Amino acid sequence: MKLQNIILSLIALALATSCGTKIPTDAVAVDSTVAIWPDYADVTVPCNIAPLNFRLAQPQKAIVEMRSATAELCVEATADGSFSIPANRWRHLLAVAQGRDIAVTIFTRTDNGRWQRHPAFPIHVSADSIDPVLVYRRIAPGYRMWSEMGIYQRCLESFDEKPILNNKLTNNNCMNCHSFCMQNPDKMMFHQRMMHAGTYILADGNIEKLDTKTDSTISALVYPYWHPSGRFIAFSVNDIKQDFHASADPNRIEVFDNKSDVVVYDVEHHTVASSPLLKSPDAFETFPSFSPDGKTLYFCSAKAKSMPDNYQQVRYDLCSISFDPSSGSFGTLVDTIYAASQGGHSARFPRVSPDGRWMMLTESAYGNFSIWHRDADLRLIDLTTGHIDSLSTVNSNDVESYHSWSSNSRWFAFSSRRGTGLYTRPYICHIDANGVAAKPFLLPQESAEYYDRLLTSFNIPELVQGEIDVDTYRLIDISKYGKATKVTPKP
Amino acid sequence: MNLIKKWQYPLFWLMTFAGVWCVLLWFGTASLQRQQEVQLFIPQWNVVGPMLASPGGLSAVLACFLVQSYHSALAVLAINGIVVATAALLVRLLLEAIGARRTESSILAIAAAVALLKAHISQFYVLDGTVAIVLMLAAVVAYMHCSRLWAKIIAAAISLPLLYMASGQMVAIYGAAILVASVLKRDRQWYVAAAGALIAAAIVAIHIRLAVSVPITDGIYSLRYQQSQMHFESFVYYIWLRFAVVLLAAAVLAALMKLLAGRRHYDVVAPAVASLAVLALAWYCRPDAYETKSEEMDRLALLEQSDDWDAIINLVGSRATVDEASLNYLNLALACKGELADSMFHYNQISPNSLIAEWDRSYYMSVLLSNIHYRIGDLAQSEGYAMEGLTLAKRGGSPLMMQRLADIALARGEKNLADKFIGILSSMPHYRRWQPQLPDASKQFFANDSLKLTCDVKTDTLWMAHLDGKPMGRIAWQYLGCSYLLGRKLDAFAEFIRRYGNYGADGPLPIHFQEALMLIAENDPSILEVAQVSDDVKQRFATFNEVASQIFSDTPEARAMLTARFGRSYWFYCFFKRSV
Repeated sequence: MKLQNIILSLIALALATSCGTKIPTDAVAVDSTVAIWPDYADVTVPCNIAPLNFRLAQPQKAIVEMRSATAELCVEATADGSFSIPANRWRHLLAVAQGRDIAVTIFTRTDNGRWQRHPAFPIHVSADSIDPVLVYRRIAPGYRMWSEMGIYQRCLESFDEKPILNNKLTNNNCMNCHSFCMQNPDKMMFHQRMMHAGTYILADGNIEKLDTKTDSTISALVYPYWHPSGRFIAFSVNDIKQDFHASADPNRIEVFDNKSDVVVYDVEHHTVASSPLLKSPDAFETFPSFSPDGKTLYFCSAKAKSMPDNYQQVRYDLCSISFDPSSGSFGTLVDTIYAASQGGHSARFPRVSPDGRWMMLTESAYGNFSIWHRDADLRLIDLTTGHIDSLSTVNSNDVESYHSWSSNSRWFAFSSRRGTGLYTRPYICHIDANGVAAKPFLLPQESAEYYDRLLTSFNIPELVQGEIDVDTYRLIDISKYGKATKVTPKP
Repeated sequence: MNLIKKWQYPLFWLMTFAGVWCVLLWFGTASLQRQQEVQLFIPQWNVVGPMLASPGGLSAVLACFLVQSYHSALAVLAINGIVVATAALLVRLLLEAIGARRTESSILAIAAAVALLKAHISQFYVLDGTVAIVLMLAAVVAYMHCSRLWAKIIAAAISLPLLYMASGQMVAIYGAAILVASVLKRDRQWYVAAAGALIAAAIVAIHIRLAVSVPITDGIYSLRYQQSQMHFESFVYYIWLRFAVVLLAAAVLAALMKLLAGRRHYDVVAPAVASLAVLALAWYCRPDAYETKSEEMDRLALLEQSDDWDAIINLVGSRATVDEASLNYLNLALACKGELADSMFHYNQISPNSLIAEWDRSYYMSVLLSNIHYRIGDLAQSEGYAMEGLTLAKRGGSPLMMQRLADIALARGEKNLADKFIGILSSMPHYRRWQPQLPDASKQFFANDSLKLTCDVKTDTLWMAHLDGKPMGRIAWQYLGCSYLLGRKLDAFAEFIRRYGNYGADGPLPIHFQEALMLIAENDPSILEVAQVSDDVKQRFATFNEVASQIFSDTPEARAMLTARFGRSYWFYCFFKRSV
C-alpha cells in the first residue's frame, strides 16, 4: 500500500511537472469559455499536422494544457496572448493521441492575479494521415490587376513554405490553374499568362511549354483536370469576362463566361479533342473532371444565354459523359448527375474522391466563379445513392469554394472567406468512410497573427503526396526562352 | 588652411548635403514623399526578422524604416541628403585611396551625388538601392585603406558574406570595385582583390542559379523595360550597374589625372576637366519629361490629400497646357469648393475625361480615381480602384488605400474586414492613431435591382440612381451635370435640370448651367420655366450670338477675340473647343 502511494505520487508529480510550464494549481474552475483564434475547438486533425498555434481573442496572461492519455504539454502565452506550441512535443502528443482526443484546457489570469480554469475542449486526432504537402497560389484579391503572385508548396507537417514559382522572376506575369495528376507531385501543370504565356507541364523531371490556342477552340486551355493515367488532361476553354457590381451587391465582382466548351488534351500527341456534346453552341460547358477510373468525364453545363445582361440566370448542372482512355473518344450520351438549376442553384468544381465514392462540388444561386459569391457552399454527393449532403458542419455564412481531395479520400482542402469576406484562406476537413464531415480547421501557421497581417489570398488549394522538386531556374529559362509546342486539334 | 584640411571631409559632406537639399527643394520632394504611401512596412520583429534573414534584407529594412517618415518633407530632404552626401564622401575617399588629388576627387565625387539624385527622383526607384550602395562603398573604402596583406584578406573575407546578406547581389559590384581600384592604384597585392571579385561573382552566380530573386543581370535592360516591370528590383539593379559605370569612369579619370600630375597647367586643366565631366553628367541627369510630369502629379496628389483646393486650382490653372489627370484634380478641387459648375470652363477643359480620366492601370491613377469616386459618393467604384491601388503599390501595399478600404468596409457592414485593415495600420507608426470613419450620408451603398454590372450601366445612369436613391452631396450633382456639358449632351442636360433643378439649393443655378440652358432654350424655350437664368447671362448670350455670327472665318485673330471675350463661358467650349 505504501509502495502504491509512493508510485501514484510519483506519477502525479511527473504529470504535474512534465509540462515544463507550471499549471496553476490554485486555478478556479469557471464555466465561461475563452475565445480563441483560429477556432481549433472540436476540430479533427490528421496525425501528421503541424502545431495548431493559436491566440486568445483578448490578450491576457494564460497557459494552455494539452493532454492525451499518456502525454501532455503546457505552453505559456506570450504577452499578446499567443501560444507557440513546441513542434517536437506536439508531434509526440499527436503520435500517442491517434484515433483519440487531445483535451485542451486554457488557464487565464484575471486582473487581480487569480487563475481561472476554463472548460476543456477537444481536438480530435484522426488516425488518418493527410498528404503532406498543400499547393496553392498566393495572390492579392485585386480585381483586375495583380502584383506579386506565386505558386507555393507548404509542408503540412511543419511550417515550411517554398515557392514553386514566383512571378517576380517571370516579369510579373500571371500564373494560375496548377493541377496535379492524382496528387502526384511529379506530374503537374499550370498556366502562365501575359508574358511567357503558355501551359507548362512538369512531368517526371521534364518541363514542356505548350501553346494551346487553336482555331477550333474558343481560347487557350483554361480549367484543368488530369486523367488518372496521366495521358490526358481535360480542360475547359472559356471566353471569360469580369465586371463589378454597380451597387451594394455584397459579391462585389462577377466573373462570367460569354462562351465555354470542354476539350480533352492528349499529352503524348499534343492534340485536343472534343465532342459536339461538349461544345454545344446552346450551352456553356466548363469545369471538367475525370472519375478515378478514368472512364467518366464530369463537367458542368448551363443553358447558353446572352451575357452580361442575363448573368443571374446562368445556372450550371453537373453532367457526365463516358470516356474511353484507350482511344481518347467520348460517349454519345450526356447524363445529368445533379440538376442544380432545377432547384435554383448552380453547381461547379465537381471533384470525385480517389476512392470513387463521393463527389464534392461548390454550389450557389447562379453563375460559375464561386469565390466571388458569398452564398457559395460545398456539397457532397454520394455517388452510390445520389444523396446530397449540405455539409452544414463545413460551410459558413460566407464563401466556401475550391476544394481538393487527399489521396486517401479522408481529407479535403478548400477555400473559404469566412474570416473577413474578402481574403481567401485554406481550410482542411476530415471526412470519414461514411461521408460524415468533421469541423474544418484553418491551415496552421507558425505565428497566430500571421493571417491578420496577410494581404494575399490562397487560391486553388491542392493536396499533394510529396514535395514538388522543380528546377526553378530551368523553369524560368524555359518560360522566357523556350519554344512552345503548338497544340493542334485531333485529326 | 590647416583648419580647412582638418575639417575637409565634414565640410565636403555638409556642402554636398546642402546641395542635395537645394536640388530636392526645387524638384523631387513630392515624388519622394509619396513613396511612404506605397510601402506597407510593419516595424515588428516577426516582419523584420524574415527580411533580415534573406539576402539584401538589411538594406531593405533600413530603407523601409527611413521611408516611414517620408510623409514629412523635412524628413525627405534630410534622409536623402544624408545618404547621398555619405555616398559622395565615400566615393571621394575611394578616389583619394586610388591616388587622386583632393581637388579632383572632390569634384568627381559630386558625380556620384548627381547620379544618385537622378535615381532618387524616379518613381521606380527605392531607397534600398542607395543604402546598398553606401554599404558597398564603405566596404570598398575599408578594403582600400588596408595596407597589409592579412588585413586585405580579412577585410575581403568579412565583407563578402556580410555585404551579401546586407545588400544582396551588390556584392558582385563590390568585388569588381575592389579589383578595379586595386589595379588603378597599382596595388601589388591586387590578386587578393581578384580573388575577392571571383568569390563575389560565384556567390551571385549561385544566387541566380538558385533563383533566389530577380537576377542582377536584369539591370542591363533598357529604361523602358525597367519601367514596364511591376517590381522595383530590376530597376534598382539598373541603377546599380549605371552607378558602377559612373564610379568606374570617375576612378579611371582620377587615375589618368594622377598620371598627368606635375605637368604644365595641370592645376588648372585637371579640375576643369573634372568639372566639365560632372557638369555633363548633371546635364544628362536633369529631370526628363516623364519625371517632371510625375512630380507635378505627385504634388497635386499631396495637395488633394490635405484638401488644399486653392493650391490645386492655382497650380493647374496657371499652366498653359494641361492633361486629363491634372484636370481631374482641378475639377475635383472646384467641385469640393462648390464651384465646378460655376467656373470649370474658366480653365482649359479638353474632353469629357477632364472629369474622370481613363484608368491607366497605374497605382497613381487608381488612387486618383478612388478619391474622385469616393467624394462623388460612389463607394463601389471607389472601393474597386482602392483595391487596385492596394494591389499595385510597389512595396506590399498602400496604407493610404487601406484607410479607404477600411472606411468602405465599415459602410458595407463588414466589420471583420475593417478590423483587419485597422489592425495592420495600427502597427505602422505613422498610422497608429488613425481611426476609420463611417462615410457620411452622401456616401452610401444602396441596393438597386436595376443596376447590375458596371459594364451594363452608363455612368450617368449610375449617378442618377445615386442621386435618386440617397441624399447624395452636391459634388455628385455637379459632376453629373458637368459631364453632360463636357460631352455636349444638351438634351440629357435638359432632362437632368428638369429632374433635379438646383438640387434643393436656394438661389440661382451655377453659371455654366445657366449658360447651357440658354443654348437649350433656343430650341426649347420651356426649359426656362424650369430654372431661372439671370439677366446677366441672357445679356452675355445675346452678345455672344451677335459676335459669333459676325465671324466668317476661323482665323487666329477671330479666335483670339472670341477667347478674350467668351473664353470662360460654356458657349465657347461648346462651339469652338475641339475635343482631344
